[in-house]
Amino acid sequence: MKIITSLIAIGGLLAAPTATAEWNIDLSKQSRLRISGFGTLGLATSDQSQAALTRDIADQEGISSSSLPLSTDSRLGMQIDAIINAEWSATVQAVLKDRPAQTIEESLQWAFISYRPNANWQLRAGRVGLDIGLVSDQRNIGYSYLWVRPPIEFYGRLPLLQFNGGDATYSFDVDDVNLSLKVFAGEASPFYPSNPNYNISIAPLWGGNVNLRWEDWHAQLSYVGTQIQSNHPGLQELQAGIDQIAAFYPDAASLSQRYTLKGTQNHFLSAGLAYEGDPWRAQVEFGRLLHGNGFVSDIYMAYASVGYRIGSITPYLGYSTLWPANGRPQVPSPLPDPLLQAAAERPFADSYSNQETLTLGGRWDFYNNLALKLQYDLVHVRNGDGIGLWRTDNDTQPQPKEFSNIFSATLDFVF
Amino acid sequence: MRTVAKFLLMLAILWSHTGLAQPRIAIIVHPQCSFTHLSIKQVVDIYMGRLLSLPDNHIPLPLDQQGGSPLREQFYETLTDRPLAHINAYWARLMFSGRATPPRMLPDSLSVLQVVSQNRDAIGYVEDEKVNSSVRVLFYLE
Repeated sequence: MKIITSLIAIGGLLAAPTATAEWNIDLSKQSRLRISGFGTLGLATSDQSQAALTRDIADQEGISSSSLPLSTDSRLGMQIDAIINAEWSATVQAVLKDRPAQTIEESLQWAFISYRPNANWQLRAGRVGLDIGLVSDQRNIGYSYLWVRPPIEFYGRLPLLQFNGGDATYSFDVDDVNLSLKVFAGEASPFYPSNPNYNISIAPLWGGNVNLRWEDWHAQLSYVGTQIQSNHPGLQELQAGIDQIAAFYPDAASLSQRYTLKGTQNHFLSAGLAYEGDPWRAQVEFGRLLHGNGFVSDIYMAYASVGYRIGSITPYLGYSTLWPANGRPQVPSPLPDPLLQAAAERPFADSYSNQETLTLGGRWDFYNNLALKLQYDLVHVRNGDGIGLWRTDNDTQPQPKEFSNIFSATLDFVF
Repeated sequence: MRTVAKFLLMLAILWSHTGLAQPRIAIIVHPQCSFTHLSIKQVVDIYMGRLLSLPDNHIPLPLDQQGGSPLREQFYETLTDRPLAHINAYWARLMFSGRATPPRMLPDSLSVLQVVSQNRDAIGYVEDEKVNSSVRVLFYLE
C-alpha cells in the first residue's frame, strides 16, 4: 500500500503541470466546478535503527535508518469544489497517505457544504477541518508551509485533523484589523494510534478560536475539548489482569482505574503568532494539552521558526520542544507478576513525550506550483524516557538514542 | 541541426526575458458597474479572498490570468510586493483547508475582457493595449 501511495504521488507530480480543471456553465456567473489537488513526494531517513521517529502519533512507520524512506511525508490529495452560487458551495477532499488502514472513511478528509449568507458569516456542515493551530488543518499540504513537515513536537501529539459536525465563522474589520471568531462542534472516530483494529469514539468534540489579522501579522488563540466514549480493548485486557489479583494487590482498583478512557475529557489550548512578510517570515506557537485519563501526562509544547527569502530560495531555522507537566507516571507498588508489571508500565512509557528538535532547511520555489525542500533535524530525547513519539516495528519498547540526526527531502506540488 | 535549433530557442527565451519591457496592467470592470473607484488595497483584498463585498454590496467576481503567465506574475508582484510562489502557497492553504476558493482562472486576456463585459460584479486585469470599449478601466498598475 505504501508503494502504491508513492507511485500515485509520482503520477500526480507528472500530471501537475497540466493544471487545475475547471468547468463553467456560464463564465460570467459565480457557479463553477473545480478539480484540483496537492501532494508531496518525500524522502526521510535517520541515523537510528533502534527506533523510528513518527510525524505524529497516528503515523504508522516513522523515520529510521531501516524504514521505507517514502512512507512518512508522501501524500496525495484531490479536491472537488462545486460552487453553486456566491452563497452555497460543496467541497470534497480525499487524501492518500500512510495510515493505520486505507479505508474510504479514513481517506475522506473533508466533505462539507458551505453557506455564506453575507460577507461576515460562513457556516460549514459535514466533515470539516479541525482548526486548532496556525497549521492544524493544512498539515497535509506541504506546499503551503516552509518546512518539510509541521514541527513534530507541537503537532505530533495532535493527530486529529478532521471531525464530523460543523463550524460557524464570523469575521469583521475594525479599521485595518480583521477579526474572525469561529466556534465548532461535532464528533470523530479516528483509529487508535498504531492500532488499525480499533476506533476511538470521540463525542462530543467542541471548541473555537479567535483570529486577528493586521497587515502581515496573524495571531490566533484556540481551544478544543473532547469527550472519549470508548475504551481501548488492549487496555481493558490489562485492567482485567490487574482486577484478577485484587485479593493480594491492594492498589489494584486504583491502578486499574487509570487505564479507563471512556468518560474522560481532553482539552487543548494554544496561542500562535505569525509574521508572513517578505523576505522575512516567522511564527511561534505555544500549546498545552490536558489529558483526563490516568496514564497519559499533560504536556506543554512550543516552537519558533524563521525564514528569509533570497530570490527563489528560502532558508529557515526552527526550534520545537515538548515537555510533560509532571514526572512519568509509575505503578504505585510492584506487581506480583513481572509480566503484568511490564504490561502495566508500558502505557505510561509509550505515551510519555519529552524531547526537542533543532531544524535547519531550505525551500526552493523552482517552478510555478512546485517546491523542493531539504531539511536536517537534530532530535534530542530528554532523560531517555521521552519516547512517546517513537516506534519500533516489532512492538518492543522504543529505545531512541539521546541525539538523532534526521535527513529529509520533499517535492511539494499543487495542481 | 537540432543543437542549432536549441541554441536559437534558448536565445529567444533569454531575449524575451530581458529585452521586452513589461506592459502596463489595466484593472477593468463592467462599464455600467455602480462604483467608480476601488483602492489598490481593495483590489488586493478582493484577489486574496479577504474582501467579499463590493462598494455596492454585491459579491465580487475576480478573474485571474493563466497559472504561470508573466502577466499574472507581474500583477501579483506589483500589487502585493510578493513573489508568485507566496501567492500560490497562500491559496493552497486557504483552498485545501476548505476556507475559500481562489479567483477563477481564464485562458487569456480576451476571455477576461469578454467576461468583464458580461458581468457587473466582475473585476479583471489585462495588458493596457488590449483594453477596448466593452470595459471600463479603474486604474493602471505600473
